[in-house]
Amino acid sequence: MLLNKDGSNSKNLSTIIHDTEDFTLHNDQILPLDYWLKNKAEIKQKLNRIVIWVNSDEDLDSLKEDLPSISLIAFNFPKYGDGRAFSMAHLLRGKYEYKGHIRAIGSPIADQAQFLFRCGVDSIDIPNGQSLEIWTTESKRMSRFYQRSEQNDLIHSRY
Amino acid sequence: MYKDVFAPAAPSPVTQNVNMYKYDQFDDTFIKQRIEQFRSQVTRRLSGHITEDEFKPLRLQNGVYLQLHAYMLRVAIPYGQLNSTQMRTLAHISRKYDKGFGHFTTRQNIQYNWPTLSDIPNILDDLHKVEMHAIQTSGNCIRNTTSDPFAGVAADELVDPRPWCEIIRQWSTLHPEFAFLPRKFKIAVNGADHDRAAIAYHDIGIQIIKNDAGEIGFQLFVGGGQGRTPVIAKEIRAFLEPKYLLSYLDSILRTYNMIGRRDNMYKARIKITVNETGIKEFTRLVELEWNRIKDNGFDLPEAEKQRIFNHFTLPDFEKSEYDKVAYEQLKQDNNGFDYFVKHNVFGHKEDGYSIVSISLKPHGGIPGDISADQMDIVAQLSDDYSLSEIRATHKQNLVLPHVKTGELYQLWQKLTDANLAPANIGLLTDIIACPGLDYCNLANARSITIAQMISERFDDLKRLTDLGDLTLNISGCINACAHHHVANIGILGVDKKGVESYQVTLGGSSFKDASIGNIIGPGFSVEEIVDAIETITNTYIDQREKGENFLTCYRRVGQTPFKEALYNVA
Ligand code: SF4
Repeated sequence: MLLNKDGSNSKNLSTIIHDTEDFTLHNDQILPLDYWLKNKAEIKQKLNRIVIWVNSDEDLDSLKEDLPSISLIAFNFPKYGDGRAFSMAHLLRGKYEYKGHIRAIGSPIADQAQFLFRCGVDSIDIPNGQSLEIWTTESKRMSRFYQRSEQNDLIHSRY
Repeated sequence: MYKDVFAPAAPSPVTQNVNMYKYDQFDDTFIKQRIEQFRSQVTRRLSGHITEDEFKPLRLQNGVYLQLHAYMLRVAIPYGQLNSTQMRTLAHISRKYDKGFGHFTTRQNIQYNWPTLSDIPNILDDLHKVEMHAIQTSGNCIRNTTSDPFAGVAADELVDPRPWCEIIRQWSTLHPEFAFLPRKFKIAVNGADHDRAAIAYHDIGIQIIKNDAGEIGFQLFVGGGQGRTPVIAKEIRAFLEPKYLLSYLDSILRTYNMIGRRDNMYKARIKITVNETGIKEFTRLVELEWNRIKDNGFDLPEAEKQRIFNHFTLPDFEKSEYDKVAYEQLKQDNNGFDYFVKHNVFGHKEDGYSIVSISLKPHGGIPGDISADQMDIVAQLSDDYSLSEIRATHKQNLVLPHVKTGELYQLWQKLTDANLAPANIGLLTDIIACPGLDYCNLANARSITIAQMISERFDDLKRLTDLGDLTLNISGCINACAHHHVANIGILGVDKKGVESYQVTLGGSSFKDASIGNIIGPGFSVEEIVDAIETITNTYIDQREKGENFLTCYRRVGQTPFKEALYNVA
């Protein structure tokens, strides 16, 4: 299930591809960054929507030139404590001026929902077995924050 | 026996006229919502809906640790400033939810060692009523910003650092991007000539300076730290215009968040990042990022800055005159008072006023510990003598910042009655000790016991005065929570085949002339360590030249005479 930044939910229709050894490329797949980098031409030709996922230790620069043609980028949380995705989302919006959809996947926790949205994430793929209710409550927990952030329009901030 | 006697008689801190940051509706709601969140997390934990593992990241960001015997709650005292109402609430909490004690830490915070988990949300409610919280006192996030305990009043101060600390506090509180850093992150700000905030040992150290053109700005240092690998911070920027503080901090934190190591928790602090990347390259990356964001609205608008600054206007001090002859006479007639003035009283900006340090290092006591009754007494004394204001120091002591010099004698008498007048600030028995084996599950050895033994051996003020300025810190393991590396005499507890052993370092300093101490030789047993310390101080007395304090003497003569004396080698 997806939790969107406006608080709504939607079904997650895409499959995250981890293993590219033996698979058939089709739409509704979230492809790993290195697979995309190696097979750009084929992917561009076969798919009408380019959707990829990036691990927390991968380099955003490698995406730079193709950003306008990528419609969704998902940042993976290998562990909830690996907070690079927050900065990566911020950089993707602010530095790389990415206009497409940003998603968080992997193992984030509910208490990170608001932070993620504030850093520029549009939707979170809620890990299996976790309570949608708790995620929804936590995503609206604070009605205000002190500092400015990349996505500042969601909430009351001091400046 | 104390349980039900608490009656909050003092006015609300909002109306109390102390020059400190006061919450408005925004801050108030913010803290309330945060407590509701934590309450729901605790409920989920207690009902078994989440495991201890899942609960861990949630409790940590709210200052709750799991210690050897129980949960520990660490309460933030932003840059060490408190009013008397807040102090009374801290006393109340220790009576109602703990064992009648509190423990001031080296980060100007206070810890409670025995609260139950189900009580913690109620404690947070009590704290909220007096505008306090426990947010980000643990976890891999930006911790409480620390500063000079004499901030705003020190005679040698260039600029009051407190408004800047408050600006950093607000910016760092629930910062969406920096709550899950590779490791904890500590910032200190100093605004005086003398560095009383140990900025060289912080992840970011900020020194407020004046440039040649007479403009105020920040000199920024990065990558200092204690722990296993003590490192002195390196300069990342010689002068930063104040209006860019937050965007510059954002840039340092973002760079660290992206390139800091996450594969090994012992290599995850920014000091390692800076060492491995090199300060030049690290600076380049930070400046690159800063140039991108610096005029994009991440800095504080002038009006908001002004709003925060307005809270810190010093009061109009009443004229304070006193009979100087009588004051000198009192010192002459009373040895104890004379020592107290010599060691615990410091110069205030305002004529006729003094800054008074209250030592929480009594004979045989636990460094930083204070009873609920003593907290109430300190609160009352601050009302009576110090415009209701109190500070906590990183040396685990307290400060009454605005005392009329003519009232020092009276105050000293009252402190003496409450066992709060040890005249040992800055002396050998002003020991910093971590909780050690008594509370901490990482410890190799006891720290508190050693501190108590040393304070019992060295309890003669004449002798202590003769030994002069001397810092002695004791850590119970290599994590160095008591910063033993930067003490003139450092003691580190190690485990030697299952037996407690103590390794001694000499020559560390945390002041402007920061240095890291050197290990002097093989460790000592519990039975030997106090004798060893005495051998060290005796060697200093033998070796010193006129006017030399311990550190200067050690730096001149080096390790050899100390080694010879300690290990009987000629
Ligand atoms: S230095 Fe070691 S023993 Fe002492 S508090 Fe820190 S972790 Fe615990």
